[in-house]
Amino acid sequence: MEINAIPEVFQSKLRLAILSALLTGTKNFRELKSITEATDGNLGAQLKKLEEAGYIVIEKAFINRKPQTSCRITDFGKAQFKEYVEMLEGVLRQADA
Amino acid sequence: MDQKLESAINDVALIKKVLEKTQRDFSKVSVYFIGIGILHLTAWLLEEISYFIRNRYGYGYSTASSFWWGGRILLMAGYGVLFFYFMKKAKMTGNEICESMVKVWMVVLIGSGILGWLYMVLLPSGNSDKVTVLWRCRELIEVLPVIFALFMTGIMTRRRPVTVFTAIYSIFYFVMFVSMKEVPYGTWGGVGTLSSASGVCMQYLMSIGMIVLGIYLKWNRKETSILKDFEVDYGNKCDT
Repeated sequence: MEINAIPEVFQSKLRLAILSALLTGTKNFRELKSITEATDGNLGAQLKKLEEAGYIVIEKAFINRKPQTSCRITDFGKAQFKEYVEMLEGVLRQADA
Repeated sequence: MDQKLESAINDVALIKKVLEKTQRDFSKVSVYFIGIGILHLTAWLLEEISYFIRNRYGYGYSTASSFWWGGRILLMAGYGVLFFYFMKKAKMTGNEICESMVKVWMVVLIGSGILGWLYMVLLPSGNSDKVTVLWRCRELIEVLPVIFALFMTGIMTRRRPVTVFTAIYSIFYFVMFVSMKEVPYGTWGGVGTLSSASGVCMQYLMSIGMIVLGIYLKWNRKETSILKDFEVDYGNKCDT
């Protein structure tokens, strides 16, 4: 991944926070909201965007008769995230040198 | 500073902060402690019913011992169920601290239960002073690992009040233990028996104390906004 060609997904702090949170396992909407402290609308919009880009999978289910949205990161999302972190490391290493 | 470099530093800090926050959220595992507390309360209730039957109908009544054994079996089976359920939950959330905590508590609770049982089996029968002292020491098998696990919980979750409370409790407990004070126990429906004050203290810790610990971990989340330091394109407006 080149610094001049960073995918649009990583250009939002909220989307980056969502992906980082999902790295440690599946999270539901409420948990993601608690971690990021974003509004429902903003979080929902970013989740939709990440799903469209193939970074996450959103699953909706009824648990105890209540709708629950759970999100998990895809293998593609993990690979892209890894590449992005490696790119960040590269930038920091270059600055150090 | 170079804009790219500043942005890279911000992103790394954000990722680190999110990962730290996911590791600090113990709200899911808090129900585990509430479960342990409820199990102990139920076992305690069964024990009290057992004493009630003994007080009313005499010590030969077999239903009384069934209630007592029922409580013990319920505790062990309950620990097993709680362990498998919360291990699965902790693995799903990927929170390593929660996973370690569930494991530590299970080893402590089931381990001390088995050791306590073995100790009672090996305990010689009789009414001599030696046997009485050995009988009194049995509760240490339960208490010492629990105190250790409580300290571990306080340190792992970085909740200082838990560590401080454990330190105060352990001092209080050992003062009670050494003083050999006895209090009436199992007094429903009669005079009951005399039990060590330190043992009763332990009952309160394992039932009400665990429920309080669970509620504390549930409500004492570190509510610090991750994104407030990173306001580059974050706000409550839709960022599309």
